[in-house]
Amino acid sequence: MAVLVEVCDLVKGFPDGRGGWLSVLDGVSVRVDGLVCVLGPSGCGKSTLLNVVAGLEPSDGGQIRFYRDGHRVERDEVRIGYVFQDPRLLNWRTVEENVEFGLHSLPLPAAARKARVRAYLQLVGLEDFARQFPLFLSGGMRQRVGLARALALEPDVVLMDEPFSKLDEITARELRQELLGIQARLGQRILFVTHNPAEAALLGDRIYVLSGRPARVVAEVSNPIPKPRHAEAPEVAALARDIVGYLGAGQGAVSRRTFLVSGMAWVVGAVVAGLGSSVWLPGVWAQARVEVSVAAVGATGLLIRLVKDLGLDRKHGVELHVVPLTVADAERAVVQGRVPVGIFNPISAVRALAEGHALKLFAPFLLNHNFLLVRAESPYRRLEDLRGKRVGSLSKISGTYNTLAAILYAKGLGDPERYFQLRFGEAVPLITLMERGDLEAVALFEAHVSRLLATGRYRVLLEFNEEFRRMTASDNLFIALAAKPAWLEANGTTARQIRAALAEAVGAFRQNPVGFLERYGREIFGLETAAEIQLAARRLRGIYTARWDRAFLDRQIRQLRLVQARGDFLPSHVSPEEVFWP
Amino acid sequence: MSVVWEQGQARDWLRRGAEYSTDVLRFYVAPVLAVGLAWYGISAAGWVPATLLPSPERVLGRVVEAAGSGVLTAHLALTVRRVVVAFAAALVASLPVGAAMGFSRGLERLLTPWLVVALSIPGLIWALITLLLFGLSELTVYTAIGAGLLPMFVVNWWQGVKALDRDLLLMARVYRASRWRVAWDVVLPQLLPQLFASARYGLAWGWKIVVVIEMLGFGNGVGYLLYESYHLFSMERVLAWTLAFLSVMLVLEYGVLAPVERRWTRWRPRVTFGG
Repeated sequence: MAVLVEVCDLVKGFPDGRGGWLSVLDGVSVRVDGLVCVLGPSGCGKSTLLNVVAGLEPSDGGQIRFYRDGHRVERDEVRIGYVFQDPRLLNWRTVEENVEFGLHSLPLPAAARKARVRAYLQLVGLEDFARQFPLFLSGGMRQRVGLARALALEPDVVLMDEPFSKLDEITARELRQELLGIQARLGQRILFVTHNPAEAALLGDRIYVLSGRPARVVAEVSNPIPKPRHAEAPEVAALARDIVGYLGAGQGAVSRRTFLVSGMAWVVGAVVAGLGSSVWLPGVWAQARVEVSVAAVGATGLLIRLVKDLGLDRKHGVELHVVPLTVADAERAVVQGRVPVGIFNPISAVRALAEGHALKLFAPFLLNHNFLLVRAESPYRRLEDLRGKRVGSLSKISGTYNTLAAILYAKGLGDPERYFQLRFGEAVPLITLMERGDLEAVALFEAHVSRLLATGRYRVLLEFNEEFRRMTASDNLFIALAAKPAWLEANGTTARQIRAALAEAVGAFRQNPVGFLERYGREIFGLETAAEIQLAARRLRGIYTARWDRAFLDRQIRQLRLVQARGDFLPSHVSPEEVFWP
Repeated sequence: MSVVWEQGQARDWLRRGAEYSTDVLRFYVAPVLAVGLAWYGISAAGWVPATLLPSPERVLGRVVEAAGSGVLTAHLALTVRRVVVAFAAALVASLPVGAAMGFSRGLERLLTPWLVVALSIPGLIWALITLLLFGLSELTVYTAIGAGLLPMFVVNWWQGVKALDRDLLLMARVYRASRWRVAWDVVLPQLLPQLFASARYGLAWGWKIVVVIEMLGFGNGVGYLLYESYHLFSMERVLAWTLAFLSVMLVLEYGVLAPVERRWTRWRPRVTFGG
């Protein structure tokens, strides 16, 4: 009976009243297969999204598809419950009559209907108020009636439109916990719209972050926090902070272009993913189909794009299905087993291993190329100038942060969190913050750096790779594809095929970096002019490697040992040897 | 509906009953008694000739006598029937027009000027026109009163429909409510408050105009009785019929309309001012 709702590239607008057109949803894609939160600033079109899904408003483009047990069904065949922002009760009908209202559409005898009403009123704790009229109840109780009305339908899908936003925090908390409990018990598909990051972090199995109007999905975050979750848990607060970062990116005009770039990369990723599944050909069936999570922007996105577009995966007997995620989430996806294969930073891999998540790196991807950027006109010259300053970094489990930490420990400066005033976030929000002057410096993975340097407004204060070379007389670590040991044991051949496909893509790029950047640079890096492309080609020429021989791995291991030795940052009881699959 | 009596409920009911009777005493009985006493005092003092201000007991005596003979009740019943029938007909006939105006922008623009005109026509003009058209028949009274009430009710439905909560209609659509259920559970209850307000106003207007029409040559109804008394120069009878007429109106207002309204709006918390 499991129902799945897929919203694909939904487009919706309204006349703006002055003869123009106001675009509200601009290609929003959401997949509802659990408790899914859609988070966005107020007025960004979240309610419109729900109304279109509910069939209350027609869409202007895109599709909404309903599946039951994998088979496509019409909306009319799916029971939909809707909890509105205001309770939307019939104030002239009693609480029980309100709950009953939705049940008249079901073929239920009166007695069964009444019994169900009682059961769901009990579920929301209102059985003693069944005969009351709504206006005699408190706001929280009224919202509960709305919840009972939706749930009593025993719907396949529940749409929730900021249902707790107008309540006092105490009541809202109570209801959120209740909702988590109810969903855990009944397992409905819930599309929960909110503007409250903490709420999304607490409730959502997956969280889609929308930009301001016109709304696009700027991030899809899977909630790694195990259930039961609690509002006070520090992980929830941390995840909420992460999400606030994404939200920030949706605002402020400065970020729009950078933003567009990442948005487009998303689309590219989706198209790549779509191709992967739609060009199944007879004879290709025998090929192993592997889902790979990668960061869609920047150099990771470029390499995987080459693999797909040149058909290198098929050529080597494997079908890669690309799941585009942000850098940090791509790593999380592998740890959580959402995808079998994904990019991983070796430092992150050692830390993951130390925390009991065994992972093995098995195919080289690209240099762990990170930079500390400052504004061109700022007075900072050395890392030490930034002591106590506001510095942004990719999230704590990212390779960027781990490398930064390794460098700081190695230089004897200690914990970066204490050395700087650190702000964690994803790349685009961090860039926005720096554009606004809220950050003095930002540590970024290569993905956005080409684009930022091309504007001339920024300069590199610290190139992590050079720093490493100075410290260790060899190159920095390489980000690689990782998988769980069990998967590698079972799919050794496939893993080698992926490795070969990547190696060939690296070779192709090295031969003609400018040509490829002319083709993909605009979509993946946001490069516009020939000069920008030239600059990026120079910077990216040496970023990929195809080597995975013993000497290469030994160097990687030596690097990791150095990081372990130079501070108490990376746990030294784990042997770096274990994270590599030769 | 089953009524479950519990101890607390019974006590509560008694307490509320006592409160209610105190209220009635203070706000209705006492003022009426005071006015009656003043009337009695003035007429007993003999300052005003009894032909101009008959004593209350003589007026009441005449009411009782006429009621007992059945004359008064027959005329009263006729008048009440005329108002109620015209009222109901206008209410029903106005619904499609008003609703259409509420739903259609075009009809709204087309009909609004006509509505303004209809509302400004004095009831007496309708009475004269219908009298000339239909003569001294019941149809004359019904049409005259109905024509006056119709535009008032059209405004009622029109504004009511325009004020319908669109969000609730969408809610009903999400929950796949049938047309009938939407009408009964969602739309009608929203129109009721406005309906009660215009019903009060319409009834009051109907009482005034029916008496005038009946005076124009009809041989029956309270209007005819009053007209007759006027020609007899009998203040005693004018006051008696007026008193009887007023009591019927009050019974309709407080005995029928108010309880029905209370019943239909009990979902609304009463607003109380002060302590």
